[in-house]
Amino acid sequence: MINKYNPDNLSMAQLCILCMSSVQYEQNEQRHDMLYGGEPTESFRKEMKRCLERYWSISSRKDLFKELDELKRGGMRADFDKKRNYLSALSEDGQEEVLRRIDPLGTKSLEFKVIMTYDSILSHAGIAAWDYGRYIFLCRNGALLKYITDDEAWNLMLETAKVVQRRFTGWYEYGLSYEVGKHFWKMDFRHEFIDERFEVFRHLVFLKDSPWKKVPWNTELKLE
Amino acid sequence: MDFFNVLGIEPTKDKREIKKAYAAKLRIYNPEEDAEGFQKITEAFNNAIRFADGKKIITFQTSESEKIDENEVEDTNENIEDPVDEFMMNVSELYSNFFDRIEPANWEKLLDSEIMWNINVKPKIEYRLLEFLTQHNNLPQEVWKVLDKNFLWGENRESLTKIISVKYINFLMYKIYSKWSFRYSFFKKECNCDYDTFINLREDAYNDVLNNNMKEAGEKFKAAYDIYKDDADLLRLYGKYLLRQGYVKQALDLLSHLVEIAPSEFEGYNLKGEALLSLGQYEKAYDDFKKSLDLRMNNYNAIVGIAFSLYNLKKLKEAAKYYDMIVEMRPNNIDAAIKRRDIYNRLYHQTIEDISIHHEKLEPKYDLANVYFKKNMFDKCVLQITSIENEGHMNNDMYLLKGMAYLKQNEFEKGNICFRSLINKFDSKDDKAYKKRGLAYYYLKEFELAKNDFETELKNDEKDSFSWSKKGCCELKLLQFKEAEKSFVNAFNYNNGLPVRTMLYYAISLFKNKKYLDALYQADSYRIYSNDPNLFILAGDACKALGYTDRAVSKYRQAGENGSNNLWVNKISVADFINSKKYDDALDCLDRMYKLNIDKEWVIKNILYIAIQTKKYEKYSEFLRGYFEACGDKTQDFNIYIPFYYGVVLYNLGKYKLSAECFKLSAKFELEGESYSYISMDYYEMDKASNALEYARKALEKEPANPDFKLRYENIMEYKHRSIFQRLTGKKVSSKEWDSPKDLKYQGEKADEIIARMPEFNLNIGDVL
Repeated sequence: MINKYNPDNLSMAQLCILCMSSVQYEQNEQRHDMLYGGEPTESFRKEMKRCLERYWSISSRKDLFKELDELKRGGMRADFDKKRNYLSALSEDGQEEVLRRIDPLGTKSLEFKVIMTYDSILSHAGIAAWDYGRYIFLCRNGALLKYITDDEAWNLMLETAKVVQRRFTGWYEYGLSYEVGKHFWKMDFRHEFIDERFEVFRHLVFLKDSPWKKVPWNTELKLE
Repeated sequence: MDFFNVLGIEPTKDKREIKKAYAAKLRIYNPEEDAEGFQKITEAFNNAIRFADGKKIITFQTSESEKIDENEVEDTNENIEDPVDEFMMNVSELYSNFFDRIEPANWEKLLDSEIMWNINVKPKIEYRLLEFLTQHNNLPQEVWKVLDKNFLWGENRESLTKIISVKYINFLMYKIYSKWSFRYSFFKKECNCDYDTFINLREDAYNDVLNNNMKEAGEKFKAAYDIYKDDADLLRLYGKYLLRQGYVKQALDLLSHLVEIAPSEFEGYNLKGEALLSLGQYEKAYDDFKKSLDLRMNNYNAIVGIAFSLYNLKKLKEAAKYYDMIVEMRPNNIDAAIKRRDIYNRLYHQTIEDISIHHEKLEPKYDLANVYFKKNMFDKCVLQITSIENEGHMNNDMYLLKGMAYLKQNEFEKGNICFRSLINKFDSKDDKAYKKRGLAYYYLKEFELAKNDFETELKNDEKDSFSWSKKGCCELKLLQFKEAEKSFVNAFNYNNGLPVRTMLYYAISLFKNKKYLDALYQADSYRIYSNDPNLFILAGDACKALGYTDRAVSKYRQAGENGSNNLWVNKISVADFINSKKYDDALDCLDRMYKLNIDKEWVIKNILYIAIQTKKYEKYSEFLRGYFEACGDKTQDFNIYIPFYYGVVLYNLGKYKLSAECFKLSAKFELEGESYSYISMDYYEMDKASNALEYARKALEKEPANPDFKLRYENIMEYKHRSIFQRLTGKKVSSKEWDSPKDLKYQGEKADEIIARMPEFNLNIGDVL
């Protein structure tokens, strides 16, 4: 176990890129300062392989690129934006009326409730961080599982990171966008879920050793 | 007869020719592109038809030369004979003037004419009017309602299908009943602009946004805005559109204008405030959100905006109040939760400092108690308030805070006393005292009193989903299922973060009201969020009530898989797993039942059965021995299959003596044949050929046709008749190699048999709530 910060001497730009998937890595209790999120031991690889297969149906380079392409093209943000746009056409009373008309426990109602909760505080990027964060997460794990080379991973992530920097103004805004995306995807209103998300987000926002406190948002993104 | 010139034909009474000419012109004059041209040719067509019919010619033009030309009318009295045409002419005339058309009183006046009382004519008018409205429908909802009042389209929806398409009926219903519709009240007579085009663009852009065609929507909004800039509906839509697309400054301009022209509408201030927040103008944003909140109490977006403004203005104490409100209204709002945490951390240090400086002041002491509460330090909160109380300074906020801190520590009686004091002393209705006292009563199991308090709370705030939900729980406890169902529906309607378990309570109320399909649907919806076994039990009960036995088995089995302690559920799960030979799953269930001490005898019987079927005798023998030793002398009271199955296990483990004893026990009951046959094999293995033969014979006597018994008997007989030499030198074939035993028939109940004798409802409401 390596305790030293940034054991691979990654550049500030590289650390900044990794930070864009820090919500997942914080949740998985993995490292924010190593490309793979930890030492690439056999058991770690196996665990992540299982994770990618089970939750993403990714077991090859081809699968990985298919998923990355999907995230790049529209991901979940397209669906979110579509529904957010729909609601934006309605007055606040009109939105309440729609909620009253549909099944309160149906998918649509739960999705609308997530949107209505955050609509006024989300930037126009919506939940794009949910897609970008997962994109970087997949690149890192793709490299860990050798579906792509490390260089490929860095280059793919760099492109996305540049978009992220343009679309958001800081770590908090980016993280909130990710969390709202996760909520929209999961449609989970359980207290337990909220508490779990709160803890992950709280660590990143407040704790002194948070990666977001170590790497400035506006770090120049340039790979050497 | 200028109208024939308009149509481009010579004057004629040939209607076919007139229609053909009109159709040709329609291709040129599209109503959306050239409303004026379209109106002109339509008027010309109507007049040409009237000319063909020999009726009075009407013109909408203002020039004297084009007014009624009586000389050209062959018989002016014809208009009385064809009142429908006359009426439609009036409709057309009314519609042609925009500001006359949007005034409902003008339509009321028109529809008040005598002709409407003629039952023979009215259907014709209705048809013609409906036809007219397909092309001329830029009317405010108030006018649609007037039309509906006269023709009762809403009531006669069914019969309308005979004359118009379903699509058109839906369009009519939308125009008449839609809860929200575009307004016409912002249009001004002095503004000479093309309102019809504006209205069409406004409506189209709105539909584009609804359908996510944002680019097209943007173009249409702009085009509409270029025509007319003072329409509040357009400003709200276009302003919000620009805001969401990131054009904040442009949005702010529009939204500032919106609040100028519609100063009594809260939503404009919210949107303007939002734009200001994006631009970092927190003071101004705060003012707008405050105006919004004054216009509409408890409106969520205003509260969010105020909280955010105050947070950025570093007015933490005030911001905390609003973030508390947000967290209560929408507990899922993670942004509010994070900022609230940050604020209370900062306030904690600030308050400690304040107290050290102003120790005689009451306010910082109360602030500290409040901060303790928000930081979940409830014991310290109580101590802090108690010290204030000892100084004799209690007010209603303090009682409330102390009571809530007690509730958080599960000290319900003490909490209740605080709330009672608060209500008795201050009779305050605005501070949620009734809701909190209701909660205390609820935990003290005083459901009737709790329900009364939640009802009082709901009189103050009917949108309080928590109170609706808790009221529903009280009603479930009081077996008032109909009321409970209504309460939960309200709870969900206003819900923005109820505990997900509320879905289960709602499903229970549906089940109890015999709405089994709905209950099943809700239970299935709840499954997305939770693996609560009670949900599967309820779904199983609903399936059972609906007669879907297979589905019920599957649901109960899922309840078992998710750790239910329910006896029936576990029995069904085991029976079903055994039936489908999923022995490991069955054993998980049995293991849990054994640990929970649920019907141990039944558990042991099934474990034995599985041990035999899986031939894993060693695995269970230790466990079983422990069980039998613990039972001591009570073994004679066993279920008959227990000694029998145990005998089979011991036989397979080579413990023939013990095995034979077990079979002798089971032979006393119904399993004589099987037991005797096994005993014969035990003796055979112990080389007691005579005893073996005796029991093999006994088995055959019980079931002469049983091929296993017969085979065993013959093999033992053959062995018994071997000479001593043959026995010593010849190879003895183990009875286990004889062509038996086959799979044991499952001697327990099958899942569907268990279901048939289960109670109708298998949840214990007391445990679930």
